[in-house]
Amino acid sequence: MRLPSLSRGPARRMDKPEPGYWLVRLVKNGPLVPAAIIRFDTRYEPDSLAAFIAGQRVELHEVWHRSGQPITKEDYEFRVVDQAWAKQWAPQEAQAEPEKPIDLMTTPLPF
Amino acid sequence: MTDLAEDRFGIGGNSPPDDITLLGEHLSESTEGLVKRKNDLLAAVERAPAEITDDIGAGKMADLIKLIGACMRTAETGRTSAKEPFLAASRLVDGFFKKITEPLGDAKAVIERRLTLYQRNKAEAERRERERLEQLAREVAAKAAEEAAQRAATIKTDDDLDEAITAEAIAEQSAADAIEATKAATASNAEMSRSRGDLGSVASLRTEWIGEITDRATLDLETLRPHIAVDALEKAIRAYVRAGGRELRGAKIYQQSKSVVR
Repeated sequence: MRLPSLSRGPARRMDKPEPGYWLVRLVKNGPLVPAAIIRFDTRYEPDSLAAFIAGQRVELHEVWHRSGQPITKEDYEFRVVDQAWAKQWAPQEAQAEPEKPIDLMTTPLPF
Repeated sequence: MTDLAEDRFGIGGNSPPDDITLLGEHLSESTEGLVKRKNDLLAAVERAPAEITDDIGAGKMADLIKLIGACMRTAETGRTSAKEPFLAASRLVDGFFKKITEPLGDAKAVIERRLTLYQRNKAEAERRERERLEQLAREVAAKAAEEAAQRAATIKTDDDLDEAITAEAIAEQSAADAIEATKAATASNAEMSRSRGDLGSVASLRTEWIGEITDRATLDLETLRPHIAVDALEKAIRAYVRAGGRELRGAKIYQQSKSVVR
């Protein structure tokens, strides 16, 4: 199944969110953060959508109105866990503070 | 006592450091963080694996490239901002002296045009005069040679012989004069136009060949081939490739892919 794109273009109806998994940025030059819109059914909310950023429930537009790149469900789940780990154990990493732009002159080096 | 302390007691020991030394020290102090980051990045490159085998490694490598690029941009920004006051000062100095040299240069060009006009006329008149003298010398030489030949053909007495020898000497001298006159008539424009001022200035016409393109379409490029610099040829090939050219005799046009990190 082709994942709906969060990038600018004619394919997306801004008023009609669709389920999917993406990497988005919360701030300009910030780290990529996993985001998702998931379809679910409950007794009181049949065929509903719920949006998440890094595993936290947010309003649908918080995800659907951003630009982002599609990822798989597995990648989303891995990144949510990875970010939670970074928050607890690697606070110096950009992933630990997704609301903060990455300072490329001070961020830890990958090697 | 240390050598440094001894130097301080010598002549010039009380002089302050020069501006260049001060600037070097200021730059070293103000870019400590940048230099440290550069060293850290170079160390990270040393630690990076020699070969990338998976996407995670590729992502880390792309991140490292991005961080190196950011450091380079920061350094470039620092360089331009540190240099800007000096460029402004340089522009001020250039502008200040240009106000002196530019009107003088224009005035000099006006006078040079007048002098060139005069010297062209002078050289032309001198050439005409020298050609006239050359013609005259040739006529005299021909006449002297004819007379010497006649004298030689009619020798009967010792007096005739003396006169023939004299005529022969005159003819030889006239021939030598004619050769000198020919040399003078074919002298350069510089020699014919030379003028000297009281202050030691020497003005003469410099004649040079100028080439101008009159028709780009029919310009004989084959004749120019040995005179076209390799840089110019490579520039032309790049323009040809950009314009869509994919085949060219004597050149290899091919695709090359390279990673780009944003």
